[in-house]
Amino acid sequence: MQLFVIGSNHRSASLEVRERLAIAPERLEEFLQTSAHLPHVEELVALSTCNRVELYGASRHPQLAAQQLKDFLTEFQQIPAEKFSQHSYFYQGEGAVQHGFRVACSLDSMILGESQVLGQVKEAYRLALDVGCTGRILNKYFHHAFQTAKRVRSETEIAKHPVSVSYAAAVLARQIFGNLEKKRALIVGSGKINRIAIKHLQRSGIEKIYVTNRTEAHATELAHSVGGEVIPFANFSQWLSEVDIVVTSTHAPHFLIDAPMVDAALKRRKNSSLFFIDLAVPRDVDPEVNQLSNVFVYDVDDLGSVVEANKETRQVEAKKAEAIVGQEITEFAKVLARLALVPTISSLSKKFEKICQGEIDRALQKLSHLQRDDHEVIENMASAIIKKVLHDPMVTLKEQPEAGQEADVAALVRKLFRLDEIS
Amino acid sequence: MNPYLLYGSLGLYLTAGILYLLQWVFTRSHPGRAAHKVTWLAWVLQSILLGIFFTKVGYPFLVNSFASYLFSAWVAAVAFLVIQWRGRYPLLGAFALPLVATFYLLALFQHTSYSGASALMKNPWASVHLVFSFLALAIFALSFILGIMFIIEEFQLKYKVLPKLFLKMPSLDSLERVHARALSVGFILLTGGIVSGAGWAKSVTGYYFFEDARQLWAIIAWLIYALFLQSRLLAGWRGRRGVILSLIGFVVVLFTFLGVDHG
Repeated sequence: MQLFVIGSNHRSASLEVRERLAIAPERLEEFLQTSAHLPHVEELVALSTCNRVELYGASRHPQLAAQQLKDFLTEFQQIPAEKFSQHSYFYQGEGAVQHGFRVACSLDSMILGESQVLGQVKEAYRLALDVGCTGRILNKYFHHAFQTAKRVRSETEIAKHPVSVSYAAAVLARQIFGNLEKKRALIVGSGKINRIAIKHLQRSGIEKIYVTNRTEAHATELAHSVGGEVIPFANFSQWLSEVDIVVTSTHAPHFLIDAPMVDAALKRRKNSSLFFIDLAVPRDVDPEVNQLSNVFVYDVDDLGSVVEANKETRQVEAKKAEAIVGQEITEFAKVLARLALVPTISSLSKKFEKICQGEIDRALQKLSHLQRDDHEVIENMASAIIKKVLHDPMVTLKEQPEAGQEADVAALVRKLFRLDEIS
Repeated sequence: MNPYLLYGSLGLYLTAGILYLLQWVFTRSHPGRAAHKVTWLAWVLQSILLGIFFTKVGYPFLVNSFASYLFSAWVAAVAFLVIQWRGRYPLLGAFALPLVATFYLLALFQHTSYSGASALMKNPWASVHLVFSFLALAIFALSFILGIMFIIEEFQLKYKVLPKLFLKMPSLDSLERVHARALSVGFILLTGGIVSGAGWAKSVTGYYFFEDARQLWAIIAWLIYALFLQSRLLAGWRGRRGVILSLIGFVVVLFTFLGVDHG
């Protein structure tokens, strides 16, 4: 049995192809149930996200299984087979192990170190487990992948430094205020970027969101969807003394917020810190405002350079993560080697038990004068002999053989004891 | 004084400081955990050292500047451990433990014996005054360090000089709060030091104040800190301006202790 993966991701296929390949979440179960009946596919997990469609399987004939899955997937999604073939990849054995580990650790992601993919892999595995498509190999494999991802997360900083503008802004807010739980934010403008910024602030635990916009209807709509409160645009500067974080992104051609306005607000708020996140181009906040004490103004360029620096950090951390993945691949090879010998070990002990039982029966027939208690003594003795004889070979088999040799070892043992003849 | 305990604890404090610095630079948690243990070990050794010393010399315990500075080092270490326990400021260690070591060096090199004025020292006001004063010194020194950290971080955030390290700093607001809290404690202690000093002067000379540079400096420092605390509370002098004022206050405190001889 060998592990394999066939799939297509953001590197191998364009969005257009990926869109057509992606299996709708509500059809995933049906896909798994049907494809599990394919003759060569013995275990299967299907991962389908917006960046990748991948099928992880285990089979005695990985290439045949992959071909069957490829045909089935194109038929299931109703796309031409060559469309998938041109944009897909296939790995087996160690290559497949490496690929899956890298995916789970977010080393294969469009945004290095992003945290979503691990959740998606976990969900895909859980569904396959529920449907009953996984077996010994994939169970071990996915658990090992999750363990590797956990190690990467705790031992490297690949996921620590924000690489999106609005997340970077939320991290800066925490750096200034610490806990955001008692902090309030004012959102000026109702564009999409503000919506994302609100999401990040809410994830950091912000207490209250106020929204204002020149067109009040838009503000109302945004406030409604994020659970915020609308304030009138005409006198929003009054609110600068009530909030701690101000996010602006409007299409105004001139500055909306200037230094005297903020200075007045600072007096009312007893100089407690005020953080402006200016996501608008042209800018909404006069850069002069940053000169005031206890005020921090970050515009799109400032946040952009934070993000660039963090991307570089992630590249450096990715190297450490690759090294961890390498170690875990070696570990997992040992796990697989042990797993490959399990059937041999169990048929070996079955064969000896059978011989033992046969001999006991024969001996007892001849010794008909013996009592019940004596039978027990003889049975115990025979099974003790078998156990002791088998002990050393069993231990040797269970201790990992050199990776790659497990098949040879298994073949030799099976031949030596003629294990295939009884099963 | 046992040299093994003395230099042993000094060495351990310095080691812990270096480990905290390593943690800060390389953003790894192992040196930080080790540093925490080393700090505790150093503190235990120093406590034994002071315990033996104070038992030997008996009342009044702070018999010379050596004992006094060593006492300040001990208090600064306690305050550091308390702050660590409350809020986990690993970076503080990289600053605070060298400070503890500085107190050691002051103890070793600024060696003034108070015994020449033994009659003065026997006065009960004397030990109260010394204990208050050196407690205040340790706490002010620590808040000075918190203030410096605040200034650095505020500069980084304001002028967008954001090294990777800034994520390891405590948040700006919490630094400001802990700094002000430490100063309030130091202020109370300084008040105690000044009042007991005046009591001591009264019982020796008959006057609460006499022409002494130290008294003057102490009162100037007290006024600066009073201004800081009052303006922070009432006028909202938070942030850089307030912190700078408190840093000036500490320089005056240093004059009080180092600029004049403990005769």
